[in-house]
Amino acid sequence: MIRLNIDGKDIWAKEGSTILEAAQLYGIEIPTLCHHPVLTPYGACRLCSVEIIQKGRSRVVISCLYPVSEGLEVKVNSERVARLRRSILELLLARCSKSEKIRELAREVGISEPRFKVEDDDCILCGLCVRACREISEKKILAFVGRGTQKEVAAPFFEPSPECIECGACAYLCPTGAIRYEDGKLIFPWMKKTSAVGIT
Amino acid sequence: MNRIGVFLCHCDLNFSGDMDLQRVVDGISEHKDVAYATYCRDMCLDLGLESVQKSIQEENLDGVVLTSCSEALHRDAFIEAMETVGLQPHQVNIVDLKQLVGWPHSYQGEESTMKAIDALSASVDDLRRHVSTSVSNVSVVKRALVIGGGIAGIQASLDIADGGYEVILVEKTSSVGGHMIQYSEVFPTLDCPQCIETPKMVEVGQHPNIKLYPYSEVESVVGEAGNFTVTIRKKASYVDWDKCNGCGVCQQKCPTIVPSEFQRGLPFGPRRAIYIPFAQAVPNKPVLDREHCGHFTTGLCQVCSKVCPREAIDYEQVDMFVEEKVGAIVIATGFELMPKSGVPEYEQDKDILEGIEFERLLCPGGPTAGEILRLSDGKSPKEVVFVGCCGSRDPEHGVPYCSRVCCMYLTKMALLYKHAVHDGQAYMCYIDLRTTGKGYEDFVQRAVEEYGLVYLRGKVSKIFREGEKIKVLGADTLTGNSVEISCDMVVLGLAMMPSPGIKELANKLGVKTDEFGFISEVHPKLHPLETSVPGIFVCGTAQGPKDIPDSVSQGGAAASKVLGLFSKDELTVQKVAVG
Repeated sequence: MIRLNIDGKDIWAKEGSTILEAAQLYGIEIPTLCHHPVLTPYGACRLCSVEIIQKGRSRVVISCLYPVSEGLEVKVNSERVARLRRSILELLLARCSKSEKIRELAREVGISEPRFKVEDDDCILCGLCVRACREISEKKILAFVGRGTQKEVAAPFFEPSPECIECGACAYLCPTGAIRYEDGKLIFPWMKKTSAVGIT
Repeated sequence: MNRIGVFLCHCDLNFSGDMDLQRVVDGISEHKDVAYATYCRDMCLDLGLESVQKSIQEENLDGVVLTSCSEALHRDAFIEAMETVGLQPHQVNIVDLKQLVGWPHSYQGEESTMKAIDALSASVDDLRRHVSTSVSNVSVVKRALVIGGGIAGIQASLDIADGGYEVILVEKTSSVGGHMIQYSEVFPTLDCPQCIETPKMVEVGQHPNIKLYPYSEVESVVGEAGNFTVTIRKKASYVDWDKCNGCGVCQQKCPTIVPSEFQRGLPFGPRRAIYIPFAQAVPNKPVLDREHCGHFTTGLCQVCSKVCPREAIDYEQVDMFVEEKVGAIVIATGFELMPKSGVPEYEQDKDILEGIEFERLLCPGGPTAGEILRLSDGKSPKEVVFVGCCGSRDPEHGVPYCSRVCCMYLTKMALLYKHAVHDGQAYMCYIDLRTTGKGYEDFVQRAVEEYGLVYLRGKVSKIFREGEKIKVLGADTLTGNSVEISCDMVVLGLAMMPSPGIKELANKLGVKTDEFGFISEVHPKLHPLETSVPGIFVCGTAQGPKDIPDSVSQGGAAASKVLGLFSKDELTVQKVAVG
């Protein structure tokens, strides 16, 4: 077992586990939107960022991917982390202003209105649906397409795939409700676009 | 009935010592319907009954009231003896003067005497209303129902089935095995239940004479010994078990994580919303937990139904009711531990565990693979205090009775803890050490001598957290000092209680329970398996706290009672008609 210290409390974690896994096991709360215990960690939402101190130097890492190591000192709620998390939430809120879950997380850190231009997107690109499609149904239909501001989740050719088994894992795990069922069909954000975008 | 005789048993112990028998005889003789009254030798002896028989013939009696110490024990012998002199069952009344008078009014001469006369004259009045005895025959349905698939129920089922009769085994959860399969190793021989119980579980699953109803409950019971009609509710598992081959893909893919009941909710080994409770489950089929399932909570998830290679998932499934006819019933519903909150002096804390939680930590097949970890921080505990009599022998917080197994299982867990943490120190706080079984005392001596387990005689008054440590306050009554232990973990030996729902089941079956909910036996010593309803038997911890060897013995004994019943093709039922 590996001993690490989170916010002054020593905990012992299994070798190879991540800071987030260890913290969750012993009831230390770290907010996250893109982590799910049955899926491979991905590190998309950055909300689980924590400050670690090693050899007297401090830096910020994302706890869902950072493995535990002997003597690691972790600060979940330091000033630096809190400031970062606030900014992330403000950006997320600006992107997905209607998502109740994000609004609630933002409220908890005291943000009701973001300073940035408010958009009406549903997807935060957390990748839970992409990973669910890859690891749960093993169909690998959903993937990220595009880069930078053009990045989005889509199926090949922006078309419903005949390979899809409609297991619904993507919709069920989606933290913002971007993927929905309507009349027994899965509706993805890309389908709402008025004109076919084609391959970008 | 014109000539009624009253015969009092002259038992020193129970009657003549407590009341003036001559005055009782004189008093009851004054009753207008009593033709003859006397007291005679102890009626449990042949001599006593012979003198009654003689008097009946000499006095030409056509009705008798007899007194005895226990009607339940003596009734059959008395009726039989009276039948040989021509009296029918409706012409005989038996008054249990021990329970009515002897016990509640010991050594209160006058009061006892008057009460005995009243009781007897009431019985004479009652006897006069008896018109006839109707005799009917019930043909015995030679199938048995066993309720509960723990080790006692398993043993009873196997023994009845091996006797050649069909058994219906109803189990509430989705697998047989009961509590025993949750344990790491069992005292005093330290064998592991995953090795010794599984063969019996598999045998139950495969026996041609056993019809297993897992995930089912008894809904209603009507009828009488030899011919009961039982309605069984097969709870919806949302999985078609005829199609399912137990491949486990559903529970591997299910994206909903739920604390596992089998792991007692420990954070280390959660289950999915669709799950097979443990690896050795019999039958090895999953059930879907509707309360947590993503399909039922959000309507979005259909993962299990889509990934199942046999298309066995059926979200539309509903509870089914099946009717079965049986001739005998065995209750083996087992126990549950008293909740930790029962003793408010012991704080609710992650590092204060109950026995079965600690068993899961010790178990090599458990969620930590046998590694002992604190639930608060994952540290290997270096000092562990095992606290006996938590709620047992403690009427204020729990129950007044002794749970019989805690001394031994705490000792066993302390010993297994030392196997897992070699440099650890185990303490055991106890009130009295009760090691009554075969090989138990040796086991405790071994724990002390070979493993350095420290026994402290005295009740623990308070358990609370102090920083990283858990503090245990108690006393050592052998030295007269108060004891204060700062430790890493505490394991509570909580009281054994009847399993929840036993009262509802007892009502359905019409059997009596005691004040705690354990099924009452007809006689604690001489009829420990018979319940208040003929044809219904009880075994294992449904009857009272007991260990595994005793539960297994009782399971086998209940089976022999059932087989005895099944050796008859018909049961004679005598009913007294009242005018």
